[in-house]
Amino acid sequence: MIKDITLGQYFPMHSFVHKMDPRMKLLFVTSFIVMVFLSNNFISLGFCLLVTAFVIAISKIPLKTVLKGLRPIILIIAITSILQIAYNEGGIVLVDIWRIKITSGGVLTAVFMALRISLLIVMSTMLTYTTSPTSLTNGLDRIFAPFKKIGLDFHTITMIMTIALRFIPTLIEEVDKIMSAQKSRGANFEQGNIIKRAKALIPLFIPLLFNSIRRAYELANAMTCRCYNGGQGKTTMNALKFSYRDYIALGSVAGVIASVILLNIYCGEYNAEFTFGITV
Amino acid sequence: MSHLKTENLTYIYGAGTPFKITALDNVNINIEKGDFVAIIGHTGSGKSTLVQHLNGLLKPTDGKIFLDGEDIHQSKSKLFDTRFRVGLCFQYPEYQLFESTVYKDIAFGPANMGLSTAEIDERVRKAAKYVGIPDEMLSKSPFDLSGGEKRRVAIAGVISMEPEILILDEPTSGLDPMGREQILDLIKNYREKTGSTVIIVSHSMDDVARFATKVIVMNDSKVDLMGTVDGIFENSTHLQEIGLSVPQITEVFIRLRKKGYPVSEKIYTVEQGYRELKRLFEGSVNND
Amino acid sequence: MAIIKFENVTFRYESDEEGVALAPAVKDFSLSIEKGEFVAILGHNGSGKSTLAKLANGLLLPEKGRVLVDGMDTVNEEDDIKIKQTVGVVFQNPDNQIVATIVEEDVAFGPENLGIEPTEIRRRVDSALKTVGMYEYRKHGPHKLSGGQKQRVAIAGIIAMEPRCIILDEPTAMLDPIGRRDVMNAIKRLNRDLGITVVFITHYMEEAVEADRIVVMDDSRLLMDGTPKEVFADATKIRSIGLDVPQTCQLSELLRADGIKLKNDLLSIDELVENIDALLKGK
Repeated sequence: MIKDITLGQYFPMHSFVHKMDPRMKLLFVTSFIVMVFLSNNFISLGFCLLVTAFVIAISKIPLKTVLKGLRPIILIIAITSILQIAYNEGGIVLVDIWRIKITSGGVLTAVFMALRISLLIVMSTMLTYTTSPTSLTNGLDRIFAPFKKIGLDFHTITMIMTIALRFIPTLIEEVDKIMSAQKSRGANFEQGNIIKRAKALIPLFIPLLFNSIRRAYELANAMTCRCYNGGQGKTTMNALKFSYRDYIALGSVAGVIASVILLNIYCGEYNAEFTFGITV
Repeated sequence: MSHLKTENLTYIYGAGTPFKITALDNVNINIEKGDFVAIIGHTGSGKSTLVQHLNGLLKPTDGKIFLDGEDIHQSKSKLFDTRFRVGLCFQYPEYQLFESTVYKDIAFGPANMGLSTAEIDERVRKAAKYVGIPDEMLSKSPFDLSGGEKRRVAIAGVISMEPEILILDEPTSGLDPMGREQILDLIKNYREKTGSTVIIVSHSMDDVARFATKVIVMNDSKVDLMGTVDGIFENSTHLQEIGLSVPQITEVFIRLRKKGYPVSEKIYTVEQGYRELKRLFEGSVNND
Repeated sequence: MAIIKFENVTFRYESDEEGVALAPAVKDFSLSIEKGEFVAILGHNGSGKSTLAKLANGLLLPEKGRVLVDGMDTVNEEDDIKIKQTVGVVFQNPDNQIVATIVEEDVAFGPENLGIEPTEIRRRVDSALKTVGMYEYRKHGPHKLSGGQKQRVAIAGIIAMEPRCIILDEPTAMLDPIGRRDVMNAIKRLNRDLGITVVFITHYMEEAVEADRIVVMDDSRLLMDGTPKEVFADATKIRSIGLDVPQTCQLSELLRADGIKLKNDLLSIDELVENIDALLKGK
């Protein structure tokens, strides 16, 4: 059924990573992304790869599923790699046929870039795989709570996110139903040119719009009846609390930052010839 | 030859995924011209999935659907044609209204059939008459009407295609007693005047008992019982077991019979019950 | 003191276009609902009964007259939260009342807004879900539940605020018989076990019969007020305003017209069968 599509790609499981506080996960992922960008040699980046592998291992999410997350960006990785190979001329010439000249520098830079992009994507998908949308929204809500003092009301935004998440399955179901009903009256959503198709969507969107307005109105009433007043003085049942896991994660964040900086300093900046020298 | 028929109809949602659900399991039904069919069953029994197959909206995972002996999925044009010959009106159809006027909304189906303006006009007015929508309402916005009026406009939107078979999925849900009565009356009148085959999906046994010539009971994705109203209500205990109830009046007579009174158990309306009880009381007077 | 008191209340919705004044939705309406009662408000669509639900907790304010909730006038803004906490409202469409993506988080929404301690919220959420029989589903997403289950979650969301009165505005209109029965049982439990005052708005007479008292609305006014037996004894009047009477009442009415001396207030199958049995044996 159309409503069975999983949203936000959440993979419910019982693991160390799943049980971490969403705020800590956000902190971890953000610092990890910065560190991947800062890594300037293969050793640092290799270390980041190890960290990623470790996180995947303890999250209990199958490697195959994680790699699936890379599928949409394969093309980007491929194009970047080809450009690097084509234009980077450092290092030893490996192939030189007609006008194609491939150098070791080009190949290595391509690998470096591909690895960097992949790590960024994999770690970000790990965040959504191990954190339910609700929990993520909750985390964001709490992180941004202090900004209220300076007049930035993030609570409204996170409330909107929560309601959107709540109503997406309902609306998908509704679209499905209205489409079936209009098809029963001979509407054709699949044929014709763009203009014709866009026009065919009117019988779908008008009812959807009207129904959504009605829903919004009713929901607002129901929320008022439940004493909602814009989040003032609101408490939370599942108050986010740091557990030992989160302190371990905090330690790891510090560890990763320190390691990458040290590796960057001691192993030197990535340089095609140098690295090639080592690998040969 | 039967008018509409399914042969080993099976439908699986999300086939090949871990979420797969068998919504229809080897369903064989047979509907004759002029039948007034009631399909009953609780939510999730497969009744709505079944009717969405009858006009070709859903494609069976397995099995076939025949309209006048021809497979409705044999070609694309046949399928398109089926949509108009078997009119399906969804549950809460008022939420599908979209046009700026009642007239245009009722005309949507006939326009999609490619009819001429004159033909469309004739059909719209005829359909509006069947559902009791007066001419002056045709120029109004459907969004300004009352709930019951919207429902009738939506039904007119299907009737205007002049389908040979009219299917209504829970046409009375959410309406108050008067609204319910109006809808059932208009369906009855429509059937009498046009002689079309009508299929009503319902979970209200009271409605079914009054009108249907044939009842199909769905349970657990399968056809549980199929037969006349009498035949179906004979199984009142079984019906209760699968989450359906028999009319209150039927229950009264089942109890009286258990107490040893010589009354018929086949009582489904107050009128029938009244006559039966009158007979019982008069009989007891005569015995004195 | 009455938990809800309507005193000569008149209310009309604002006219939207062209400033044409609409007819009042509620006209000169007075009603007093006592603590612990189970009252059904019966009326056809458009009789004004749903407007009563919104007037009763200050969602709408009367044009004339006043509404008192536990002595507090609903026009006083400073009592607003207290009034909404005293009188909870459950609406018809369960889909449009559930806010969160997880059942238990939705039930917690009301208490959270009231600023209640997390441990206390947890206790209330668990107990509310148990009361409506949805505790096993606490971790589920609401979109995977049936209509009846969703409606019970919505009820739990209200009782977690520990209101003293709960108004249900046609909570079963969109449900199938099984969902309707489950919701009905949950409501009866609230009244019987928790002592919560229940105001149940419906057009199904078979549900109204379950209440201690029935208030019949017609044409924006109060038409009848009495026990189910008193109200349905006048079958003709009930039918004249487009409502149903139980089949048992219809049957006894027909037979009485023929001189068969059945009682006129037989609401249940048991009562009717016994009365028939007694009459026949008496002969």
